[in-house]
Amino acid sequence: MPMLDLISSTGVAPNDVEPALFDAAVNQDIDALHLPNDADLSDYLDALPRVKSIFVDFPAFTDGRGFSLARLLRHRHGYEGLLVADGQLIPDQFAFALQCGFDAVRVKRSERERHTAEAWQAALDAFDVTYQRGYAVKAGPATSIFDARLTAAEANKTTDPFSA
Amino acid sequence: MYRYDEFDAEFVNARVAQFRDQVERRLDGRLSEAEFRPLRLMNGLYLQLHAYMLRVAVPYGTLRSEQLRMLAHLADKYDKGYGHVTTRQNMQFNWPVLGDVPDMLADLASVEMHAIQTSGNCIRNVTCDPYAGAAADEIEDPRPLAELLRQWSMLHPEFSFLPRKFKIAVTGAPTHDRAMVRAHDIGIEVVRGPSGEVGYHIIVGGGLGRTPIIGETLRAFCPKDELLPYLDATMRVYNRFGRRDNKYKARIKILVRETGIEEFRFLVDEEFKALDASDIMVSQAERDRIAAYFAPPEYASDIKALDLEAQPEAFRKWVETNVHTHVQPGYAIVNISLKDPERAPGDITAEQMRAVADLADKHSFGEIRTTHQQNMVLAHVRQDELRAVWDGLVAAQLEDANINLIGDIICCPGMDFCALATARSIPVAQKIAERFNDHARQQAIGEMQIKISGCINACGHHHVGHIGILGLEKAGVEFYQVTLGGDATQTARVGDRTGKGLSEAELIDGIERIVDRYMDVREGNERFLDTYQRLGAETFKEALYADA
Repeated sequence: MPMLDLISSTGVAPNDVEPALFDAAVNQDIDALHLPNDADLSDYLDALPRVKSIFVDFPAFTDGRGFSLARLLRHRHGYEGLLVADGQLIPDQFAFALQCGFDAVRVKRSERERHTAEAWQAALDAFDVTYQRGYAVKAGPATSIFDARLTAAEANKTTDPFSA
Repeated sequence: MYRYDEFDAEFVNARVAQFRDQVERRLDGRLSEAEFRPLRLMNGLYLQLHAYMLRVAVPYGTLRSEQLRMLAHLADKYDKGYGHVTTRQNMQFNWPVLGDVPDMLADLASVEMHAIQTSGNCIRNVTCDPYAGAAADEIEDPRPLAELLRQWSMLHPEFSFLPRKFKIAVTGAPTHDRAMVRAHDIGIEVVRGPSGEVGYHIIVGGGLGRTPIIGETLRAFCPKDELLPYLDATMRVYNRFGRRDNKYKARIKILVRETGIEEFRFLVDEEFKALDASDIMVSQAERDRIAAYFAPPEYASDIKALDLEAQPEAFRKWVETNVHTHVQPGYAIVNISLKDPERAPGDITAEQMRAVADLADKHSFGEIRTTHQQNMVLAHVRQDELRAVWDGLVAAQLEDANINLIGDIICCPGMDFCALATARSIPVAQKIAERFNDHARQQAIGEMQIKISGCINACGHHHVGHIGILGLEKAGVEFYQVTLGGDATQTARVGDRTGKGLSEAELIDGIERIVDRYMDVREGNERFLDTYQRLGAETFKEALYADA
């Protein structure tokens, strides 16, 4: 179950690293790395094993760059730590965020009066199926349509003595 | 035609329920208008000058008769009794009420239709050659590809909040492009590779709008199984690097132009090499499953020759202009003109939709196409039934014999409907059609594509019209700029701007003088476009401004 309110409202933990301070963090473990959505990931690749969590900034919910960044971190660069979509998302994007590799979304407390935890959860339940097979996730659209078709076709092939 | 399986149906029903919930949240204030806007757009719902407008997806311009009847039902029940075929082969309804839209979507879902991604900054409904599967000049039917792209792009988790809208068009006939693939964000042509195998030519960065650009080759030959991963790679490069600071520079054409095609191709190739293709690839078995839905219909072989001489003249004229060669001997492709000079180009009444659906059932395997030129097509008609089809069209007042002629004008909705428009376009189209109403004259002029946009966003494709007209406004006065020599086909070209704008009255007279000049100077069977290319702009400019 993805958490919504990850960090206390004070925000940044003691050894959080903003991009500007990244170079000073050589050889340290990094609790939280904050990335703008136009980050050049090659700057951070060496450090990824030392990073426990990454917060990708969503400056506006209409700006979808963070989705691609998450995909790259997870699939091209093998990042396995906590990955958080941080900023102006709306519940209707929750499933997309998880499908692209985020573990959670962090939104401002003030936003959560309009977009309640229930609304976020309900948005996850909107779809059980997805056409993008590598983007199927347990919490959200869990079934790849193309895989399900294949399974159904295979099931039809097996000879069932009880079927007419 | 493709039929939904249980998964497609579940997906579209879930989408209807989701949108119903979004509308409720908008109406009770949980969603702000700013938040609701992209969500409703991704479901085809615009807010226009006078009302909401719902744009229903007609995937790759293909409809079954019961689907067209459902569109007629929507027109009657929720609109003012008509619909409008768009330049992207969709159908728009101009007068729905917000609260009715979820019910409209539910009605559509009952016949395997939706309005998903007909608008918004996402991958839009894919368009296609309207003669697909019937044309003698195609390498392979492009509809299975278009259907695969429909599924691949549906609510793509990564590419639903792109810098700007993204339009894809496909054709199976690269020698006769009827899908404008070079004027799309991505155009795909079915081609043969070095050893004869069928694959895809991928063209990128075309588009009209404020900055018309003809697309360039991104990949000359893409094997079939690599297509979806390669498109994912292209989309990822665009999603990351496309400009978001200025909405007028946010289309992929600007990224390609500013990056340079070589560098852009390098970025896509790097991405393609690094991505996990199995995330998005689809098996041969699945592609075969989809393709099976588009197998050729069961053609008859007992077709009698059509004796045109024994037929009335009006019918013969209609055959000459509106009927196109079919790949199957004895069959024909019938174009139904939606260019009655009395109506807006592309408009069709509910009654006419039902008439076309009935004709399709009787004479064309129950299937109808919409075209980017805002007409309809019955793709597989027996030649010995052409007369019966024509009689049916006459009864429905759909017999205009003007396909590809000067009366077959493409036109955006303009100031009459659109909030972006700077000038009226529909009345201009009607006046030109009126001026050239005489069929013999239209026929003598021959192929002539006039395209009209009511603002610089170019929804009426004026840049690629043989004669393009752009409606603008200055200090409350509408005026019109003319471009000449545009071409929307495989020899795509952006038209040349002639000079200063003209009033509507000057424009109609000027166009007539251009046409008269062409008739004077053309050689043999030259089309206007050929004469223009041979002689250049000067003589036609002179004709246009002769009165000014």
